[in-house]
Amino acid sequence: MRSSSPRPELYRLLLHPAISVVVPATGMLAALYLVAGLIGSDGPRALTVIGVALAPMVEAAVGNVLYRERAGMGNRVRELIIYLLLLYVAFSLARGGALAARFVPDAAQLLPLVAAAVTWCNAFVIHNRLRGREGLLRTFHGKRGDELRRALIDRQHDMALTVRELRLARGGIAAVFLLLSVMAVLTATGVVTGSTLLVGSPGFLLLVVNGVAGVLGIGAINSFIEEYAANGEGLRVPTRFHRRRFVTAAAVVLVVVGASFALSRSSGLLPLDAIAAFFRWIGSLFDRERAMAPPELVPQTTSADRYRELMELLQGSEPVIPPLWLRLLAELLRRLAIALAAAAASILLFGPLLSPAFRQGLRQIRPGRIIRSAWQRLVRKLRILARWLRTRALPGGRRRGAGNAPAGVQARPERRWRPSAAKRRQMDRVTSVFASITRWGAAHGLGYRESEAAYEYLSRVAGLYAEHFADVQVCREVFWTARYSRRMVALRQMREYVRAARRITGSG
Amino acid sequence: MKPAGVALIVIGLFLALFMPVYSAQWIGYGLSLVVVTSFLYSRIIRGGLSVTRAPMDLITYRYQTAEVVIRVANRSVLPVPLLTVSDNPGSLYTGYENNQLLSLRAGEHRELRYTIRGMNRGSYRIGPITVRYSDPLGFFPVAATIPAEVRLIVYPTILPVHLPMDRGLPAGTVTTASRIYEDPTRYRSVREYVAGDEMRRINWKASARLGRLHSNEWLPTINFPVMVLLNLTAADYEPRNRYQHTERTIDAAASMVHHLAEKGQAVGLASTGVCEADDALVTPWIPVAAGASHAVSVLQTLAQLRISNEGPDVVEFFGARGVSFGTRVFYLGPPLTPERVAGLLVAVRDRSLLRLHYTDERVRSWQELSVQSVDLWRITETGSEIFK
Repeated sequence: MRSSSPRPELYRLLLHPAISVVVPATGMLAALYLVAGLIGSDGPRALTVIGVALAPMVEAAVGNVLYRERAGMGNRVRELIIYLLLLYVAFSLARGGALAARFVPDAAQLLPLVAAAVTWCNAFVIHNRLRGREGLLRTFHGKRGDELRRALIDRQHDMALTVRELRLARGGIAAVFLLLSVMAVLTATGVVTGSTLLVGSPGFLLLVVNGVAGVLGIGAINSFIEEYAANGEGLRVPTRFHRRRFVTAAAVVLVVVGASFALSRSSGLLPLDAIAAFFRWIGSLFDRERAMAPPELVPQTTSADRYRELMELLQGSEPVIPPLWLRLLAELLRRLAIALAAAAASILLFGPLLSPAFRQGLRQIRPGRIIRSAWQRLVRKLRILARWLRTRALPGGRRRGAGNAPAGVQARPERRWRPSAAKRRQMDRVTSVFASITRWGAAHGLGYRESEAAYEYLSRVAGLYAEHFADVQVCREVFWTARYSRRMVALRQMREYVRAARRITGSG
Repeated sequence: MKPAGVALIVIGLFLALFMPVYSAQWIGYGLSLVVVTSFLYSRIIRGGLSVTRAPMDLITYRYQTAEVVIRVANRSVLPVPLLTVSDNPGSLYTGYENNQLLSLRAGEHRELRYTIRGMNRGSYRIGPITVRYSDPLGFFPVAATIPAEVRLIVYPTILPVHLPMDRGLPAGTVTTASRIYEDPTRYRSVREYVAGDEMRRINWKASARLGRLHSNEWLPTINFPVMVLLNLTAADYEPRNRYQHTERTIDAAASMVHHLAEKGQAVGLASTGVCEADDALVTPWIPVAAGASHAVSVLQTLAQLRISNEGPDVVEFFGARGVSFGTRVFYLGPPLTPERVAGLLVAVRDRSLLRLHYTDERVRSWQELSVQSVDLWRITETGSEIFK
């Protein structure tokens, strides 16, 4: 039994972000288009679409890539505020008019921000629940046999908590789709404003995408929940089982979507009139009661007149100036509020820069080492380029030794071996894999010295890590052959070499 | 189907049937088809999934393993993406191998094997089997219990036994040194005539060829039928360490039965303990008989024997039925008083046919327990040498 390479990275970087990005983004965009269709206005602007689509991506990317450890709620809210501020600036700059006037808050700026914020929150809710699973997967990763079984069984309590979280995420996805369906039906039937929902409209297409993504996402969450049930019995679900299940689920969804498209018509199979007549009859019952009620009082003026009269009354009064102390107090409070808001915003935005973790991270940055490493890489590339250029410049290849030939003797051109492109790729490959071993060694106190041959360095590794002796032996031989011989090393040997290196570094 | 699923189907069908709009119908068909397809998928694989046990009699010795085989077949046309099979081993040790995970393609057959180890003798029930699976989208998970059970019998520990077999019934299968048990049907050799040899022994053809008288020799063999009398009456044992002592005594009886069966001797079992048979507790009395199958039945009985709290007195129990002439009676149990030994001798009828094997519990002096011309053995508390 082995933790069948269900690499947590695969879920962390691919599947979980995909679920938490696609579902909220398509859901919100579909909602915007459907609402626009319902009230008879144009759809959202391109900038709004981009802002809403980017919001869950930002959440996933920042949460996964930028944060090494899972950040707390405060950091995530800060991230959302920064994103919304950037979006606000973008919306403002896209407006016309004077520069200062562009930044005056307007409904056209704030509503897309609300949509983006809601989308970000949806993505956060779904992704945060899937992150619990990532944490569990990480505790199992790399374990095998009894060790894996114990890890699985020991984590049962966490699994129960995670299952509850996953069920919430599943409910959220289903609720979003059902809400969209209601909106789509209202828009399509035109019961409110006589609207329509065309098949080719963005609203409908986004609804379809959201439905497919939602069903697949719910299926994935269900499979995760079933996986926990198996984990509780000490069983690890191999990745190939997940893959097989996902393919089957995708086939089922494809069939359902295709059948739905094929079966749907623009005319009802059964008449709706009977149901409408029923509801009309229900409504008529209330009409009779209303007919028996006393007649309503009819106002003498119209609503426009009443509004005008109210405004005249308001304008007619004399201005009332509050006392001086009250004005001073109000001004004081206003400035105090602004100062507090500015201080809070500064702490929110710049507080992390003062945190011990950030300072620790700054200390770990070694600009000298980075620059030196970059310089060495550049010099190496330049050398390779110069060698290549020299080789190309000499006609018929290099002819060293021709000048040293005795007079009267026709110097035979030296047939210098030149590695083929494939051989060069192979040489580079073994070197890069060897470099990964040296990096691993440096992290384990076994730094590579430039004066050392690869053979010597690997011998040192084998001396300290006896359990990797066989792998080191493989690495030594393949490196030696691939780097210094003139023949190509078999692909099988190269694969074995890479696998051995991964076993040594623990990344395989 | 869950109420939520039914509600989705109803809403979906309403939209699909009554709404004269393409997009609304698409939503209706989509909702209802997802639910219906998943439901049908779940039902189809439920109908096509077959989980059975391989026909087998599970028998093992204590601390040794037996292999359990479960056959899983997916006879439906749809794959089962994830199938968890859990066999219930009761109190037996399986090392977590009784839970296994599968993914079956359409029409695929698999055999799940795991080993099971009996740490104590007895008869154990393995099963039922629990399976869990669902449709690919996981909307309709199924957890079914399959009442396929199998019985595992764990024999008592068998230890090597050395029984002196110097006397018995003539013309048996056990060779002995005493020439009085020579079997004229088993020719052994020819030797020179010794004064006193019977005329019937003289081999005339060999004598004529060699010029001197020669006599035939036959193999001396005996028959050694044994009735094992196992005392499992609770009152006869000391309360302290009663379980260990009774288990050790049963191990001794099983070792003796195994040894005698290996020698091809007839063996029987009489015990004051009880075992279950047809949902009733019975006191076993297995008559003396030969054969491997008979020995197996005796061992199976020993595997299932339990101490009897209200068991009969072992002497009265044995005296009520008795054994045929020449059958040796090996008593195994706690020490008997001289009066009870005398009672047992009356039932056996011949002092030389009785052997006493006493459990080593609170015995101060073995000399005091010895009875004239009756062999007395001690059943050790530990170790591989069970009789001393």
